[in-house]
Amino acid sequence: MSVRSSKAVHRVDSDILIIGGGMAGCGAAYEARYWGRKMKIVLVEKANIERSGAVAMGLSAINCYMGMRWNENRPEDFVRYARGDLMGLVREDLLFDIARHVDSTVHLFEEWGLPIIYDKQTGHYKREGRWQILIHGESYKPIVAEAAQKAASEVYNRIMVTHLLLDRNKPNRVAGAVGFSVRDGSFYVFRAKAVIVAAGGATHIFRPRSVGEGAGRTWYAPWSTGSAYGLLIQAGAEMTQMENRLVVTRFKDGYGPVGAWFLALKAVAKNAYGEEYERKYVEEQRKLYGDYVDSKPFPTCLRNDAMLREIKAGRHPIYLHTEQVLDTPEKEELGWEDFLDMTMSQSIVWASQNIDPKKRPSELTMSEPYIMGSHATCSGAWASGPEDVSPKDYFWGYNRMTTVEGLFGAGDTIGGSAHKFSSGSFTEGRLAAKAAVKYVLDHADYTPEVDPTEVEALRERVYQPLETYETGKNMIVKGTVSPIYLYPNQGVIRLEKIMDEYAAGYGSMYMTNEFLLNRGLELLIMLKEDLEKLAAENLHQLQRAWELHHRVWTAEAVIRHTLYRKETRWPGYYYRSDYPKLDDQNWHVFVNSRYDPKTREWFMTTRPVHQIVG
Amino acid sequence: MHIDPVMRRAYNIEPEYCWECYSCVKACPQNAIDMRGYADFAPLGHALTVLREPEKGVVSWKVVYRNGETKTFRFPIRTTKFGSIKPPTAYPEPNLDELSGPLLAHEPEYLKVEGLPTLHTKKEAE
Amino acid sequence: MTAVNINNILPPVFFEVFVGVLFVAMVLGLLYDALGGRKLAYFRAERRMMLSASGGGQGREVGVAGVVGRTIVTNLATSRELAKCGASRRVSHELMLWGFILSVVVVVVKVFAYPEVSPVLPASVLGVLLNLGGLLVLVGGLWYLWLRVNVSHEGNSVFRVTRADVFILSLLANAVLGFVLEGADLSGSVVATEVALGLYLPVTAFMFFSVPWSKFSHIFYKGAYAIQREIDRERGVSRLPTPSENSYIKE
Repeated sequence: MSVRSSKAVHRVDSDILIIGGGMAGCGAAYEARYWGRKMKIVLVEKANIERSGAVAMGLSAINCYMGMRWNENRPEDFVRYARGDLMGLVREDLLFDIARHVDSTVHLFEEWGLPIIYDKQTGHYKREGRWQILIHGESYKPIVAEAAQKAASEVYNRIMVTHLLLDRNKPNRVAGAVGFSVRDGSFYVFRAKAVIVAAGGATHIFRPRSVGEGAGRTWYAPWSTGSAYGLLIQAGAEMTQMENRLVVTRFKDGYGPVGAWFLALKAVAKNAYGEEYERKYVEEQRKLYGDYVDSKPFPTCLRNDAMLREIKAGRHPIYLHTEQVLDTPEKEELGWEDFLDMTMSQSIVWASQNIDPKKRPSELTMSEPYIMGSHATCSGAWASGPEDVSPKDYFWGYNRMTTVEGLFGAGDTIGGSAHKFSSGSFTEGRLAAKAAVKYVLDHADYTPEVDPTEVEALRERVYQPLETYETGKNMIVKGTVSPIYLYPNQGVIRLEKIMDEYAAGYGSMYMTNEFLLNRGLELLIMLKEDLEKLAAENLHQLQRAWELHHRVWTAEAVIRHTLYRKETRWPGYYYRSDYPKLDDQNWHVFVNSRYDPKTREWFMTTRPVHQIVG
Repeated sequence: MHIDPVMRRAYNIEPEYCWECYSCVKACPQNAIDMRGYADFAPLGHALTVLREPEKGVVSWKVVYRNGETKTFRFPIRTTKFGSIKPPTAYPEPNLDELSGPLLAHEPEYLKVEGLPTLHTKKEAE
Repeated sequence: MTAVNINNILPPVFFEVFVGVLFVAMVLGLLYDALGGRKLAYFRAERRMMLSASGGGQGREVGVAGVVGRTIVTNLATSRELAKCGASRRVSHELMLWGFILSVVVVVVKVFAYPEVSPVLPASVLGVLLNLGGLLVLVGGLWYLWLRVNVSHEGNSVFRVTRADVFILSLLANAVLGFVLEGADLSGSVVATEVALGLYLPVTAFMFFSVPWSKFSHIFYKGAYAIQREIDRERGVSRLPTPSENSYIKE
């Protein structure tokens, strides 16, 4: 197949374009329709909205719910919690905003049909932990997708968006996006008055722990390919906390969830000698990282740090003692449902290795790093907050708008607002959508224009890997070894090795320094140049090629941010061996970056961290 | 899952990027898809099969251990009929003055508290 | 203008041998695939795995003959296996299924019992039935070309042809050439009829000789599996969990 065969070009105009049909995208569609009754709202998704995104399998808990109705928590409590967990560096305005709205999102989910588990004694939702409630969440995504499909004017499935388009007349204003159908290869040009990017964070940037067939077993979805960042960075949006990568402690190999085990079932993690270790190193940690060690609960990254110290001392395997907590059939069922609702692979680990959780413990491991904005870390776009909460320098007109006019973000796209999870991401989609509706109405007299030359150039670029293959394959008899082109999977593996060895992957024990980072950047830039020589045999590989592009942009941001922050702020996520301590004096700030698409230069800067909640 | 060009049947073209999310297994109307755990770490002889019955709002699982032991589980998946969600347009149109305010759709009712929390003090930028 | 009498071109015994050879080719092809391709051996191995996954037992007692009969009538004859794939696929398959059965039965009856009866319109009942069979195959089959899952779901062009299309295309070619032959026959031109036969016979033979490599064999495999699944269901043997008796949907 080649670009010479005529490929249809579809033009889709809308008021609001939502890129990505995951939790955040679905929230955006719903809310946009509520406020923009007559607007044309288009949602575009590279897979199928019914199961797309990180919640494909389902979830066994909603991890962000205040329970204000039962006086369980207030939004201020949530801000303090996330601030402590992120070692002080969060956008408190964004967090407060999510926390004050998320309960209405969850109640809406329940009305839609999501089965939430109740505590029979209190009549409240059954708490897994302070912020988490238990659900029967196998169909969480289909339920949410149904609401979005009833809201959007059109949902385009199987269209991969590759680039955002900027307005040809006004600088720094978004105008739409381009992409292609992964089914029939046709080209799509989307034009919109406002764009909400609700695409994925990034996996397969760092070498994963399983590398054969098991490369698919990343903890976060393998189809979260950093498109949120790849799209925004190239459009010139300011990014924040790209160095704040997430390393999660999960069940080994299957990466099954531990939340229900730790919080609801009260299982304990111990080293191979049966010793609890989580608090073992608090005083050493205090010397390096300050009084953040006193945050309650104990910060996630410091728990990782303790576990890593145990592993380095050779006191692993680290076990989660499931056998000590499954004393009733109900608890056993809860433990199994925890996996079957959201990570069936872990059930398969038990079944295949003859592990009965009632009889023996299971191993824990620390994952490879991921880049995302919705979980315990918050990499992503620097965005405006809500007018009634944000300090002046955190607000510039519209909630969740990035530094590019008319370009909004939600979910993993937005930086600085951690611990949102599924319900918070959906809520953030709602926030972004309401603001986007207002933006469209406020700018009703202006319709951005796309530059047809730029669109045509992009069209050729998008299909280039197919051309590269068709021509270049004539050099070799058969196979995948060519001196003149690179397959997407070969590129991913090279990227993963660079990041693992130079940018603090698990193979480096999550440690890096300036020399390693600079060398890694040098190699990454050569990979970035080689992206021009990607080859795709078919549309599936073409999709993989553009996912690699987005991953490489994400990785570049990660390295630049990691270089810039001269301290170790989040031990257990990564360490700077040349700056091993936390340095609040100099680095109690956000590290932000902006790529200028015209000059192709990166600008690094810092932004103040404002404490809004006491 | 793509269609094999020789016999026109569905197969997983890229198992090394398969998340084992079971979306395809649940969706196949003939229950023809099985999952075999990743070769990297899952010994053979196990099985995890699923029967999803959306019209009853339930999913059932059958775990087969390598040593032959089996476990079955059944969980609810939905309390309402698929297709029954009220679209946002079924609600009365909001007053567009509210666009400048902080309330989202169905608020404050769906918060189930008296009003949307706000911050009483805002720290100005230094 | 009188129709051509094909018996003057090729004697009835030719057709008896031809049909016999095609039948044998089909059987040999199936054996080559099922035995040589180890499919029968696999089927047996799969039975063992299935029963052990079900807990070891053979399940409840079941009258196999009854299940077979019931499966043929309520499942195979109605293409019930395709019910979950959408109405179009089931209807198109029903047209092809019954068109094919009708055509085969009529041809066999004509060749062996009524060699002197002309199978073209409007001469005979056989002619009407054969035309009906061909029409059902043609309509169902042409429709099916758009329903092929690589066309309907993967964005392939309807003109893309792979090995999987050998059966449907040879079936359609057979139906089309059957009508061409009828037309040539009715036209009275011996030459035209000879040419038409020269196309129709090899194409029909190809359909039966290509059994080991085409989807023709699904007739036997799908049929066998449908029966086996019904038997398993009656016995209570399954790799899947049992369906739920309760609904969690609150009305």
